[in-house]
Amino acid sequence: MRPRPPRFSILIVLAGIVPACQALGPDKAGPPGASADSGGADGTGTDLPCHELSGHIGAVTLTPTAVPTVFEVAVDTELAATVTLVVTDAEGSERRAAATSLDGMDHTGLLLGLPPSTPLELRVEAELDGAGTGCTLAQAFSTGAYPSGLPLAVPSLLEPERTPGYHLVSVLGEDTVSVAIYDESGVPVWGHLDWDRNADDVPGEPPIPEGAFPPFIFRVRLDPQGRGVVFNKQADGSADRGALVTMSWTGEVLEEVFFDTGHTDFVLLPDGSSAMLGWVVQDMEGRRILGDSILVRSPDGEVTQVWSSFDQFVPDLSRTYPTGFTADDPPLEDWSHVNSLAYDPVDDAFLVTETEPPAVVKVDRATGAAHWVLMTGSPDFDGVARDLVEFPHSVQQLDDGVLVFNRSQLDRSETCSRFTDVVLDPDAGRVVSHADWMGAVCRQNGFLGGAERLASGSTVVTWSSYGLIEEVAPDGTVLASLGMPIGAGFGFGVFEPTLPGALQ
Amino acid sequence: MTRAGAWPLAAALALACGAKPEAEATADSGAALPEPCVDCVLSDAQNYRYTAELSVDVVPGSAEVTPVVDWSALRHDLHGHRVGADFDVEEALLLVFLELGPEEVQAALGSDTLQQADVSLFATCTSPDARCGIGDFTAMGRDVDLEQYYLDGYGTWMVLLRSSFEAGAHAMVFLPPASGGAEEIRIGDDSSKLDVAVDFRSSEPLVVGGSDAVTLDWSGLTQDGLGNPLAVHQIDRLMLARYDAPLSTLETQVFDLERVADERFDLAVSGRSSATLAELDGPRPLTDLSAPGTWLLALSCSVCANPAPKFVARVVGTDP
Repeated sequence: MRPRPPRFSILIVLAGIVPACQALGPDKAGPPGASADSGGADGTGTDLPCHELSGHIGAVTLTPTAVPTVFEVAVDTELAATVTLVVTDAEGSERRAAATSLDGMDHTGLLLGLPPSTPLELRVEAELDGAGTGCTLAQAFSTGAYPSGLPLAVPSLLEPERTPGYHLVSVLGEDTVSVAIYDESGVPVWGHLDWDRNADDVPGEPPIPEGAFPPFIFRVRLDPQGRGVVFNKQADGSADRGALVTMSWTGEVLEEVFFDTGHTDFVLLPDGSSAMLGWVVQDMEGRRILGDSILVRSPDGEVTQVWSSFDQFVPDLSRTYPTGFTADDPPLEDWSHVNSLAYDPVDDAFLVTETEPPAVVKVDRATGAAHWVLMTGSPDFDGVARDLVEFPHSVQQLDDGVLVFNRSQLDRSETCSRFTDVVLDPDAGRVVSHADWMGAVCRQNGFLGGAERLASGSTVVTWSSYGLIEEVAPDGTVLASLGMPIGAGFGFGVFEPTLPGALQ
Repeated sequence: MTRAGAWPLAAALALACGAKPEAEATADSGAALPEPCVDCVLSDAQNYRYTAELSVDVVPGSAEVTPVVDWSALRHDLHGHRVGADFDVEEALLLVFLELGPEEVQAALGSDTLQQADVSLFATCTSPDARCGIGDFTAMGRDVDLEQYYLDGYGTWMVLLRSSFEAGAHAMVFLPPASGGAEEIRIGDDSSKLDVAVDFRSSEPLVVGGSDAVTLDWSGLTQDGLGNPLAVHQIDRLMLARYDAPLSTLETQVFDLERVADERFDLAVSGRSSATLAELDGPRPLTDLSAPGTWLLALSCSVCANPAPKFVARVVGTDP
């Protein structure tokens, strides 16, 4: 029996999320429109030329939301206008976001991407039809404190060459599950506490029974419509259902869709469908064997299974597999342990990583058939080294092959978790080349873990059980390192160069 | 058994603080006090300072017969709290560090700078018998078959005992796997020691006006009592308390400031960075801080590994 790699429990006790924002209420908001008596909008006390048209801009309402770093802004203009929200920090740096309007006169916008507990100023600029550009004087506001239960990333390395953007992660504790977005410097710009074992007041989340697993969230992605984020909630076992939750930037649940047995990972597809890993149980020689599947949910809600690990491989019944993997049916033997799901839009195919046997499988979405299987002894590729794919936990399709995060076999003290670039020639059945990166120090990542190649050529590595995110340049240089305080780890990580609607 | 070398943590900081004799530094000494504030903005200069020296036994455990950890003999924890009377151990926590040795772990724990990235393995065990074998530790309730990793020379293994009584650990021990090591490892009162030196007197007092309209704003704090960076969002509890005991006594009770208060006013402040005195819950309306005794303001993080308050200032009230 191959020893089962450990999964790690993370300790942290979270207090409840409190939407206690410190933004000025409407009664304290700056005057709507320009006034030379109200102080300068440019931080120098001098008027801007656009102030002369400020009279065409009516009420500016700044409203805090359930997320302490996000504000809603409403602006009225007397003339049809295109409105821009301008936020200035204490150093005078400006960031801008466009407001939207249906009639050109009632405008709404979002302040997204701001740091917590920070004094800022908001100015509204309006391109007024036929009249020129008007602007308001600045009004001061402050983002709220980040909820105390959500840990801050601690940057230990920030090279100037790091890629600008945002890390979307689930943050896992022994007693908490939350979702966070950190910018490339580790500044938390968005956070949501989804579950707290010790809190009685988390809406919609009753306390779980003793022995049950927390409602894990492992992956966070951007909502394709730009409304917020989508994250998965894992089923408690093969008789439960998992969910994909769409949450707005302001913290409201917009949509929740379900997948029977859905677990660990999901992807959002270009046609509006979504796919999630599922569990499958087969009775074999009096034993109950747990395998995995790919479930696809169409936009109209129909869920179909397009692939099963039982279709691809046969469990080795001469050995036993670990038990206790699902909370609702502990005796199940956890066999294939598929943990990650990716999508290749070029071939309309899924990629999964499987632990037993260690393999990456590329699955045609339409037929469920394997394009290829990358593993030792695969008929699709000659001479695959035993450790080329070793307890893989993420895969990404690249132009010339795949990027695999190999957690490695942790019972051997000399092995290290790593990411591996594998150049493939599927037509020739050949692994052209491969290259490993094991990190500045040897890490044995005991839980999940992932690697993502960015457009910049860098790779973002999520060392989940270490609560650590690193950006690695193509030459292996670490460009950024963001760590969690002790007690907090990550699920998978997703890097996005921008957040839709965020201040730029 | 050996003990990992004790680390005089932040000793340099303590020297730099230049603590004054108590008679010179108390609010009663006649030294000029700052003007009373009503809109009070708290500053690092008002925060207390402390140093900590942690030492933990190193007891090699048997790599051949994975050991059992037994804490049935534990009577007092690191802070002097009594097992059974003050707290009961609710959980044992197992940490494995692949890159850090015992002394480095000990130093990072004492200085509250340990990060998750330092931890290679994290598992827990609960036991009504005050005993857990290495194989009894689980991750999220799941058996992770840890015995297979308890190999001679492999990593720095540590067990810590915890409860909901307070954050942090009550006691701990290192148990590096070694050929011929102990099959049973006991955690007792002497397995781990924490010596703390607290200075409440050298910092600037917070002088407040007598009204309950006083506002406290801690958004500008940047350092905790150890001199580590302080993230304001971590603060989730505010306590203003009166003590009959003098500062010198309270300096020996930094982990028990809530419990030894003679009069206490509290507020949950998660997600906030300011509050008014009128919001505090206590035995009476908080209208007079000039009542006799020692007043301390503490800001704490209940979810942090270190149970010491992040901020403590002595408070001087003025007549309303």
